[in-house]
Amino acid sequence: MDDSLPTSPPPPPPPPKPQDATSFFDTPGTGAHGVGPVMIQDLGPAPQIGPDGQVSVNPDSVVSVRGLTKTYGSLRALNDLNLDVPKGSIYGIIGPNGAGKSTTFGILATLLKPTSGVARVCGADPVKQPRDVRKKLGYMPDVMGVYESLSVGEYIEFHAAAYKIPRNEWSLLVEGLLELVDLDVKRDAMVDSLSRGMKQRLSLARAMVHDPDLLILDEPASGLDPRARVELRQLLSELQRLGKTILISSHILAELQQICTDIAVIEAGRLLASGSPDELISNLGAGRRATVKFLDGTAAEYPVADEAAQAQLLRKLVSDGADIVEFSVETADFEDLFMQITQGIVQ
Amino acid sequence: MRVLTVNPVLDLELRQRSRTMRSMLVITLYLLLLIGVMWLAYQGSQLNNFGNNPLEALTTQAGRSTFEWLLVTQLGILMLVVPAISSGVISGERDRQTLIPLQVTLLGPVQIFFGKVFAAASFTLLLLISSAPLLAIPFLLGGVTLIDILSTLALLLFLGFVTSIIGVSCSSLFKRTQVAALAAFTFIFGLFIGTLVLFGATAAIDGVRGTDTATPRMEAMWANPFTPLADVGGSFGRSSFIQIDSPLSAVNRGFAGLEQGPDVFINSRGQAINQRTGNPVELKSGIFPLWLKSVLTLSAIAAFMAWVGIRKLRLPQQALSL
Repeated sequence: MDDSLPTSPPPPPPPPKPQDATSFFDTPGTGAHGVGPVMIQDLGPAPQIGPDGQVSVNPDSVVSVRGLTKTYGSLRALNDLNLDVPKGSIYGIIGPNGAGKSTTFGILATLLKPTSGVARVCGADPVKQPRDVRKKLGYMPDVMGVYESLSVGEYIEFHAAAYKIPRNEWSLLVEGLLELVDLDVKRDAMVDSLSRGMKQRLSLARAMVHDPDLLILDEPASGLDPRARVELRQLLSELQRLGKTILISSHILAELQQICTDIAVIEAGRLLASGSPDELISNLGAGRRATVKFLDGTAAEYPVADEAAQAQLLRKLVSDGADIVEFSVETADFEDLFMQITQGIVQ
Repeated sequence: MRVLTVNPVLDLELRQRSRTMRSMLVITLYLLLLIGVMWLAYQGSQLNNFGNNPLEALTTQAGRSTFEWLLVTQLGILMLVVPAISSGVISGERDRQTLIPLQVTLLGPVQIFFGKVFAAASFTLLLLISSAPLLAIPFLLGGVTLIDILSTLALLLFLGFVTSIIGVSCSSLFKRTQVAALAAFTFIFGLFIGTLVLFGATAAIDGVRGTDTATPRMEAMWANPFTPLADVGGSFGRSSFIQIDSPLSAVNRGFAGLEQGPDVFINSRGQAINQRTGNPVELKSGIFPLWLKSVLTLSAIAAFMAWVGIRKLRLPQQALSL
């Protein structure tokens, strides 16, 4: 029995309120893949300056970003962002609109030039070695575009040609990719006849046409119906099993919680938190809360770490003679985490 | 499918274009218009024949006149159709949100740009090939050689290619298709009218200087797409020279006179005349023909526009024009 438990109902702890991110997690943990602290304002090891004056990045990460900053005039879209995406992970980036997610993806996908900072994608520099990055990266932008006057098979073949894949490999490639995204029966259908969910899966197949190590998916579930979202989730899990590293952003937080092995929360171009979903929630402090209502009408909330602590609390209260009329436990989810960490800053 | 491995963008464009009714409609209207112009030119050449010319001279004049009117009409249509087609090819990709997925492939900006250009130019080729049977009619009537037909078709193809580059560059530079189309048409219009205004201005300046005859500078017309066509398609200086009043031959004679130097003009019989004395003078032949100077000038403009258009497609950029 833990003697520190209260013998009588203590005053309810103050509800968590939005505050500075740095004060939320004062206990550094380790991410699912051992890549730095769970929560830090400036993630991971601070940028190391090498003897050659260059910023060092994590060579073990598929994506490593140090001090990435992007400004558009007076607008600072990214502000000294540091990230490490471990190999084989499904790494979710969440943040409110304008947080800098798409800008980050744009830089990693060789579309945008950062104002300062360094990024490495599969060991290559997106600014200086864009071709090397593109060979290893499959990018799916937030708004999907497809050539509607092509058939599904022709659409994949076109991108195979664009990735310089030998022509004699196209047939098997198309077959394999369409089977993977469950569109094999639609090979000869025109793209404009596909549903939105199917187009999204086709777009994903297009991003994988050159068998990239890394997939960057910007809001892939946007606009999909629940069934299509479930299918997409299953597909991403399958891709992870195939050894792909997936960097994904989404507004649907529950989905990220379900599929992601690592999460980063960014706002106003800054990293607020990162780590595995469970670590983030448990370190939130309000990960699991037991609410007890007593016969005299009073109520109290207790933070409990897990089910064992929950049973221990109940035993203690009963043994202490408390007249309990209701005992309930609420688990904080990602939405709670998101609302607590972010402040709704709009740039 | 072979072309797909050479340039996938070209293949994509051709495939998509062949699947729309618009292309067929444009070709049909183009041919109908050419048939109409040919009929009118033929009728006109018959009306103008007041003398007692023998039948051979009559059909030869009709053949030449019809040929030249067909060329002028073809140039006019190409200058309208090609910018309309080419100015939407990249901005259209932006509109459909397909440009970025294309740019993140291993295709470079040069391949993307020239894939689009060759696709637009191939439509020019299709138009010209489809009009070949119509050009055979003036050939059969007379006054037109096979070399005349082949050289003017090659020149029209070149002009279509230059116009395609201008259109695709505007499409690359401007985010919205309508703005890109407006810019492309303004540019082409500038080549036709702007050079003409400059041509007139040089004559005015020359007049102010106090020379007896205000002589414009031919250099001002080098960038005008009509200039090489008049030089190659006009009958002056060719074995098939004929006295006719088509715009091509008239401009051809005028330019040829200016090429001879100040105060010289070419009369309708093809003779160089000194305006001051009224006496015939000997025709001089320059090292470079006018059409070559014009082709080089237009090539330089096209090269500059291609550079500008490709530059806009190069990644990474400071900001994306999505």
